[in-house]
Amino acid sequence: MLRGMDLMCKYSYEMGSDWVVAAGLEEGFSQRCTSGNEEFVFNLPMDCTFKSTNPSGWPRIVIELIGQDNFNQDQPRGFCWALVPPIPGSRKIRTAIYLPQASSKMQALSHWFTGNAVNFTDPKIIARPNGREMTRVQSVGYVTIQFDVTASGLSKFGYDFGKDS
Amino acid sequence: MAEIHYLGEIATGYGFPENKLCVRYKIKYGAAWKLISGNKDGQTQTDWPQDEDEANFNHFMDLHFGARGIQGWPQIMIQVYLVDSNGRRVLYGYGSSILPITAGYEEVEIGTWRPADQSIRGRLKSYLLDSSPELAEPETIISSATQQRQQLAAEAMGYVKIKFYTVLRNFKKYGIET
Repeated sequence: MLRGMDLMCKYSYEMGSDWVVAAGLEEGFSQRCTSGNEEFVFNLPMDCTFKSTNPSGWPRIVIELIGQDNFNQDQPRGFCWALVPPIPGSRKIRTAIYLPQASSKMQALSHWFTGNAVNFTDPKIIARPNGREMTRVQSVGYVTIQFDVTASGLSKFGYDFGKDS
Repeated sequence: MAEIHYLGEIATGYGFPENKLCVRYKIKYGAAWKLISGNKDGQTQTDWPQDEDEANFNHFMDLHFGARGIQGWPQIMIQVYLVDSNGRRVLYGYGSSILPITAGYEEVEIGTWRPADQSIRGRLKSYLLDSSPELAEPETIISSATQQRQQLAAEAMGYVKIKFYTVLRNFKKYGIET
């Protein structure tokens, strides 16, 4: 579905109200990648430190894939989110990306006319537990994210996060 | 008080006759448990996958429980719906599962079923419209082994995969081993 496109990846973090970013980058953009087959390589490093008083609202990384249409306008090409693994260690996650679909025939027609892809008003809503009941999407591919997580202060407060299986 | 955090994701649905799906879920728990924060129920997005059989929901669940006893451990009950191109919602399956009891990562695969009308009329309706009878009060039947299940004819439907990261707090202090 994404074959033959130029893709750029943007990441950001969505977290609960008890969480703050202590250090590092909260957002990042990748280079624009073209691919001859169906695999796009971003190799985009992420580095962020979070602080919290509560595991609720654990940070999630929100990924947006952006491409350009024939008029050089940025169009969304896919969205997804993944939970930053709460278990310290190394983990590779593969998650599906999807594009929102128009919610009415009129909207679909106007999008087709202007060439704009349907977009979320705020991409971070996909990572929240509420408000997605009426969304219709179409899966278009997968993204692989490698996480290396270290944590401090977990057992001191009585938390057991389990071992990496 | 012992606490549990479930950082979960209703991830995918697969193995159904059609793959245009959405999932509604509800969390049920006993009197010794309290849901400190998080949504007790919700509905995922509807996915119409193009290339693959799997429908992706990518729905975040953030549950924080306080526990005073082990009885009534939280369960998740799901109802899967087909959302077809005519806007019809057809019941595609009921299912339930206990939320994980061990700290760490776990993928829970819930097999779903739906009531089946075995009469000629029922089978014809199921074949033509892909619909099935629905339970009037699904919750008791989905989540426990009641007498009513004995009289129910059902057919097997697909699977829903839910990924959980479970975080326990103070369980060792109260001497509970999981």
